[in-house]
This record gives sequence, structure tokens and C-alpha cells, in this order.
Amino acid sequence: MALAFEILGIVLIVLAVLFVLLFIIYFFNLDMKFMVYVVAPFLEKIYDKRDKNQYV
Amino acid sequence: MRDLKYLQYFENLIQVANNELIVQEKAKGKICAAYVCENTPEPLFNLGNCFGIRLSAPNTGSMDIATYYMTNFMCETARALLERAIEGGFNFADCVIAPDGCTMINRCVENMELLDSMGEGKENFFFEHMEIPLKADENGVELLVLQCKNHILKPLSEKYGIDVSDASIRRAVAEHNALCRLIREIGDFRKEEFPRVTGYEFAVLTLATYLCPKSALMDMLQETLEEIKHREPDRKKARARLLVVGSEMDDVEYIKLMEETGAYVCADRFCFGSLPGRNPIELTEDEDALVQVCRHYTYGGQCPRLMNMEKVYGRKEYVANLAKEYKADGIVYNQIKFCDPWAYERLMGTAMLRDDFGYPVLSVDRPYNIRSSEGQMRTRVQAFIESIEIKKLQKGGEGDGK
Amino acid sequence: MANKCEKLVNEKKRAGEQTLGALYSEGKVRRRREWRGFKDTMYDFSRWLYIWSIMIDTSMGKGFVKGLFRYRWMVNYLAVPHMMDKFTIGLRDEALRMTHVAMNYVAKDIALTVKRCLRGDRRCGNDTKLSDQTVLVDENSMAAFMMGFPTLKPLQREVPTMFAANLINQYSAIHYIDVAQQFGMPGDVCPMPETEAGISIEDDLVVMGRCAVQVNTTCDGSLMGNGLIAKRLEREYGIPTFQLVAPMRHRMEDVQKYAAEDMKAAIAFIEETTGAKWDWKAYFEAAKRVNLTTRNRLEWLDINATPYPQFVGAVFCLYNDTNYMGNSGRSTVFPKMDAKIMKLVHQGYERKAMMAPEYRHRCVVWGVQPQYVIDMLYWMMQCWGVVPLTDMLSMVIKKEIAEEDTPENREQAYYDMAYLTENMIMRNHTHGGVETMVDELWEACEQMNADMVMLWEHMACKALEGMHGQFEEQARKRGINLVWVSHDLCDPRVASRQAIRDQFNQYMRTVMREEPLDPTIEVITDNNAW
Repeated sequence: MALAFEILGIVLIVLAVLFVLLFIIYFFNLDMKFMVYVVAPFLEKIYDKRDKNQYV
Repeated sequence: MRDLKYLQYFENLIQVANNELIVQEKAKGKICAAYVCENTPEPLFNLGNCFGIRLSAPNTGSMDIATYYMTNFMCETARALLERAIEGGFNFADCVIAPDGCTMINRCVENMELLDSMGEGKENFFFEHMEIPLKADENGVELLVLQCKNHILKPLSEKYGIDVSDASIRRAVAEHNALCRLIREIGDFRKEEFPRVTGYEFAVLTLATYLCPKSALMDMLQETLEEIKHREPDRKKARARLLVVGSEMDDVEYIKLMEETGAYVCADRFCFGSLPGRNPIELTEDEDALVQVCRHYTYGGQCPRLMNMEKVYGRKEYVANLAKEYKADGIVYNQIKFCDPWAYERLMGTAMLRDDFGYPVLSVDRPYNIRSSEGQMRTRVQAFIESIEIKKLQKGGEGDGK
Repeated sequence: MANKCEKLVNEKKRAGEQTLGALYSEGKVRRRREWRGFKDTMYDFSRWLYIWSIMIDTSMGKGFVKGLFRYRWMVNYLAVPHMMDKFTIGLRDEALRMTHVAMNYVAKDIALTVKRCLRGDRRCGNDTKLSDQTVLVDENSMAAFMMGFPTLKPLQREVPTMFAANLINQYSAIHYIDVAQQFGMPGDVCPMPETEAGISIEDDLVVMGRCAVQVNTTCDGSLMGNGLIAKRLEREYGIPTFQLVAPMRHRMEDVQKYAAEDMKAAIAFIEETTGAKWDWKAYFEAAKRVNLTTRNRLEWLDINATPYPQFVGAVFCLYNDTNYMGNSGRSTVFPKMDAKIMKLVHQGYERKAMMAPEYRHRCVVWGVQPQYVIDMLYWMMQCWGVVPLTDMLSMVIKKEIAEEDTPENREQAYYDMAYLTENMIMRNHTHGGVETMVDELWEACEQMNADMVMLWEHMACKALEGMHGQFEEQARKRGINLVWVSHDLCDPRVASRQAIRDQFNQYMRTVMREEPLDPTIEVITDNNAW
């Protein structure tokens, strides 16, 4: 029983931490900041380098 | 070459919208039906006591009022026509019949109507807007027949008592064909190595057939044809033979400008030109004349609004065939500034004529009145001609331009 | 018509932040998200998680990774949560919820389109079975001709590449505009078909589908762009195309047979190229759902005509857009979404819920909206208290179509599909003559009890520009406050977001002589933002 409570407690703590982390990401717009300053420039470099088949 | 006897007379005719021949015909009590697009079956305006005039605004200067109504992003043809209508320059017309050929010409005529710019004191004056086919197929023919009945024949008959019978249409087509054959016969001289008619002269004659009552021109055109037949051509080759392709082109100064740079305009595939506008309409006895006329316009039209792919590819093939037939060294694709259909057609035509058919192509947009940017256009045409000459030199001969 | 509007003050204080300027920085994204009070912030947070779940699900699809590196437009999808923030600026309670219900479904629909695109694309997922079931359809077209093909999937390739992309990222179109212009396209055409042409020239459209059906949709540019795209489809990729006609003067009786006959030809083309058979049962089921959409939309408009409008703004337009055009009654999910929204609309109306501290003007939004400043309508409300009651794109289908399967109705169905196609969003007003573009604006003002018109002046839209003087003169005659707001649809280099807002600011200050409700957002530093 004690073990079950311990596991439940750990699960609740993990969920709480996850919630707090996700909420921080959400509220401070960290998801978009990561995308715009890290992922997008990386992808754009790839697009610029790609061979193109431009044709009307 | 010696000047053509009637050239100056024709030049004067196309300098004013309400020209001398219109005044003469009106004085005889005839009805003037004005129209605005190559997609409207022309012979239907020349029935009985009626004659058709394609609206044009020669010597356009300021377009300030039209620009207020339609902004400066609208095609200059549309704005020039509206401006002229507001100025009262089209008051000779007894009706205006406009197809929804393109958005801008449609808006132009709607503004004319909303502003009551025409028809003052004319009890029977009317505006009609009609749909025209978007594809060259039998469904399109059926549509055009219905539209012509409802928006051309019915109002002409009801308002002005015009005879719109099958026999009347056949008579009008016969007259139309006679004029077309004259123009095409004159135009065929452009295929010669040393042509007996200049591109400019031919443009003046052809344009007059759109802007004047046709019946009043026939004798002079016939005489001009005879004169050209016996004319001694200059024995000097042009620097390049050019085929001009484009939309509403009722400014002969543009052709003159090209020829002043040493080019020869050997063929005219534009909306006020002879190809395909002056192709005769072949009628048979086993079908209504109206249906046959509509079929001619539906299948024979080269307007970019015809959007089925057979026509999209076919228009470029048509231009390539003309270039071959008229021995063009290069093609000039031109578009009136702010014209959407020709913006795309020009892009695609330029690419296909170059890539698929191997012709040198000059792709330009131009103002309605070429005088407003003559220098720029002259430079571009000169550069194009030089590039053709260099290509010829590099090939070591004077091929067909390919 | 009167040009006075009774000011309506919101007696309920807005929960959370009172001013919104603090959210914006000069960077590419916002400084932080909005605090809407505990309850609404938690709700918004849950929806944020939901959007990410949709995005993660999409990224699990076959061909996604290849597609992400192959297609330039894919980068925009990183910014979907940012787009949701634009749609919910300042919203609370029912308005926030109905926006999320509608926009989450729109986002899901777009995500599904992206997923299908990459899965079926010959270069990425190369799922030939999916590709064979697919009929490519124009972005701006009403997919009515697909209502009786339940086994086939219409795919609007341009939605993720152009239409939705520009809602998400204001700079999404400029690369393709430049490509088109590099090939000789003049800079004065509408940038929407121009972008699509650029995408085709760049070879950045997915390659899949058994066949394609194109329609002359909103304008001459759109009609002409089809030829360029079809050439590549047919000649390079062997995908046959059909051009379906929708008459220009679509209100005239004598063009309807023409449209109906071509509809028959389009259906025959699809049957022939795909081997699928037209299913009348599926068609009439879809017709019932189209009618339900129409009834619901008209009811929402009725409520918007009262002093307490509920379902307004860009979401209203986009939801209708997706529902009619992308869906055309095919989906069984939309009625459920409609029901959820309807419940919230009624609830908000009964509570007399307002979306801003004051409603000073009741505004009909006309013309063509710029994709890259899609949050303008919410901004007008929060900054100036001007409520966008409806917009031109939402004033779409008015009549119900035949929904019972009878022999007469089977013939009528072709006319109904033609009617839907002719009245596609935007084209139903840009074509059809002055009555659809100008006269119906004044009818909308009467219907919605509006005292103001915000006229999106898309400078390259010739149908709209051609009536500029008429709008001006007729508005003056009717005593309507007409605010011109110029833009270039999807090219922010021509008119920046702030330049667009400034036109409205200037009108409100100099003509209306009013002060903003929230001065912190009169100038927003979002010109670099997604």
C-alpha cells in the first residue's frame, strides 16, 4: 500500500513538474522562440542550398 | 516606297473616336452599336440599319477622372475608355454591348453606365453585359448563341427595330468576309522578302476596319489593295522581321516605333490586329448562321481567357505557326500595363516560344499610349533587334530565326 | 441610413490583462502569451497542448521528414501556435472558446492536408494507393463536384503552400513571388495566384493525384495561373487536368445551363480518370450538411446583427471558408463543430457577452483581407472598439440546395453544384457585376445595423479597384463611415502590418476624432514577426 502511495506520489510529482515546465514554455512563448531562432534558420539554410528545377 | 493614296486619310480617321465616317453614317439615320472586346461576334453589330464600332480612345492624355473611379492599378485601356466616355467622346454610340471578357473592361463599362456617361437624350440607349465562353467547346458555343440572342439581337431588335433574321446575319457575314479577305490579301504581302506594304501601313488599315463603319471603307480598301499590288517595294532588307503578339493594341505608333528602329512588323496577333480578327467566317446552309458565327468565335478566339488546355497550348502553337508562315526572326509579346490575363499569357508565351519553339522573344509591358514612354520602348526593341542580329551572325547566316 | 452608433459599454471587467501592448516585442515572436485570468489561461493552455498534439501527430506521418527538408513552405508549420495567439488576442469566455473550437478544427483540417500531401507525394511518402484516390482541387474552389465521390479525396495542394502558410507566417509568400517575377511576371498582379505560379515554377508543389480539376475562381489572375500549373502537371508529371467553368456574370439566369453542363463534364472526367462512380446517396447526404452549414451561418449572422454579436472576426470567415470550400458537406465532423459553436454563441448572446471594453462602432468588413495581418479584426475591436460584424468572404451562400434524392433533384443537383461553385468565397462578390460587389455591401450594412465599413483595398484586386469611386461616392451618399485600408494581400513588403493599422488609426483619430481604448496597441512592433 505504502509502495502504491509512493508511486502515486512520484507520478503526481512528475506530472506537476511536467505541468509547470509546459506552462512555463507556454506562457513565456518558449516553443515559438525556439522554433523561430533555432529550427527555422537551420531549415532555411537547407532550402537555400537545395538544387532547384525551376521551369514554366 | 511611294506613299499609299489613302494612308493619310486612314491615319486621320483613327485619330478621333467619333471619326468622319461615323458622322456620315449617323447622318444617314443609322444606329451605332459600340462594343469593347474581340470576343464579341462582330458581324452581329452590322445587321440591317446598324453598324458596329469597337471603342477606342486615340490620343489619350490625362486619365485622372477614370483613375479616381478605378485607381491607377487598372489597365490603361479600361481607364482610357472610361475617361473618354466621361469626357463625352463616345456620345455617338446608340448602345454599348460589353462581354465580361476581363474584369477590367467589365468594370470600365459598368462605371460608364453608373456614371450615366453616355446616351444623354437618347431614349432607346442601352448598356448590355454578356457572358462569353471560358472554354472552346460546344457548351461554349451554345452559351454564346444564347448570350448573343439575349444581349445583342433582342435589344437591337426591340429598341431599334433592327432585322436580326438568319438572312440578315448571312448578309452581314458576307460583308464582313469581303472586308476580311481584302485585309488578309493586303496582309499576305508581308510574307514577301521585300514587302510591298509596311507593318505600320497595314496596322493603320486594319485598325480603321475596327473603328469605322465597314461598308464605308470597302471601296477605299479595294483601291488600296490594287495600289499595293502594283507597288514597287524597297529593295532593302529589314534588320529583323518581328511578329507582335498581345492584347488591346489600338496604337499604331507602337508599330511605327518598332519599324523606325529598322525592324519590319510582319504579323499582328493582337486584339485589334488581323490575326485572327480578320479571318473570314465560313458559313454553310445546313445550320443557323448565328450558331456558325458563334462557333467561329468560340473555337477561333486566341484570347487568354479561354482556359482549356488545348487552347492554352494551342495559342502558343498558333503564334509559332504564324512566325513560321510570316518568316519572323523574333516575337514581341506585349501586355498593356496592369492587364492580368496577358501578364500570365506573356510569361507563359515567352517561355514556351523560346523553350519549345526556339524563337527569340522580347517580353514587354507597355502603356496604352506609347508616347508616354516611347524612349524606353525604343531602347528595348533596339536591343532585341541587335540580339537577333548577333544570333544571326553567330549562326553565320540568315536562318528563320530559330 | 444613419451614421451614428450607440456606444455600448461592457459592464463586466475583463479578467486578466487589461492592455495588450506588453505582449509584443520587436522580435519574430511575442514576448509572452496573454494572461486571461486563471480559468481562461488554463483553457488556452489546454488548447495549446492540443495544437501541439496535432502537430506531433502530423510529424509522425509517412514522408514528413523528407517533406520538411524538401519543401520551403513546411517551415511555416512551426508557427501554428503563434497563429492561434493572433486569433485569440484579448478574447475571454465564450468568444475564446468558440475561436478555439473553430480554429482548432481548421488547424486540424490543414494538418490533415499536409499529412496527405507528404504521404502521397511521389518525392516523399510515395503512397501510391493514396495518390490514386486523390483528385487535386484548386485552393480557392468549392469542392462541390466531389460531393458524390465518397471514396475519393479532394486535395487542395495550395492550402498548405500558400493560403494557410501566409496566415501563419507573413513572409511565407515572398520567396515564391520573387521566383515568379524572376520569370517575367509583373509585380502588379494579385500576389496570391502569383505566389502559386511561383511555387509551381520552383517545383515546390507536391506531386500526386490521379487527376486535377481547376476552376476559374476569384479573378483573372487565378484563372490564368491555372494554365501555368496545369502545364507542369500534365507535361512533366502526367496528371491530366480539367478546367471547370464558373461563369463570370453568375447572377444571370442565362448562364446557369452552361455552368451545369460543365459540371456534368467535370464529373464525367473524374469518373473516367479515377474509375470511381458518382454516388447520389453520398451527394444528397453531403447536400444536407451544406444546407445545415448555410442555416447555421445565417443564424450566426442574425445574432451578429443584434447589439451583442458573438461569432465574429477572422475566425468566422476562415471557418466558413474551410467548411464550404474545403469540405462542401463531405465531412461528418463539421456538423458537430457547428453544434458546439452554436451552443457557445447562444450562451454568449443570452449573457450579453462582449469581446471588448466598449463597442463604439458596428463595422462591416468588405473587400479582400490580407492574409498576413489576419489579426487586424481583433485588433480593431480591442484597440478602437470597432466590432467586425461580418466580412465579405462570409457573405456567401444564401439559398439551400436540393437535398432529397428524386429524379428531378438529380438534374437540379448539377445546377446546385454550379451555384455553389459560382458562389465560391470571394468570387461571389468579385464577379457578377456591380450588384455583387457594391450593392450587396449596402445590403449587408442594413442587415447588420452597421455604421462603418472597413474596406480592405487589395491594391492588385482589379475587380475591387474598378469600383473604388463608386464605393466612395455611394458611402458618402448613405452616410456610412468608409475606412480604406490598402494592402497587397500576401506581400508585406508593399504594405507592412503597421502601415495597414496606421490607415485605420489615422481615420479614427482624424475623421472620427476618437481616442483608442487600448493605446498600448495603437502601434505594434510586429513587422518582423511571423
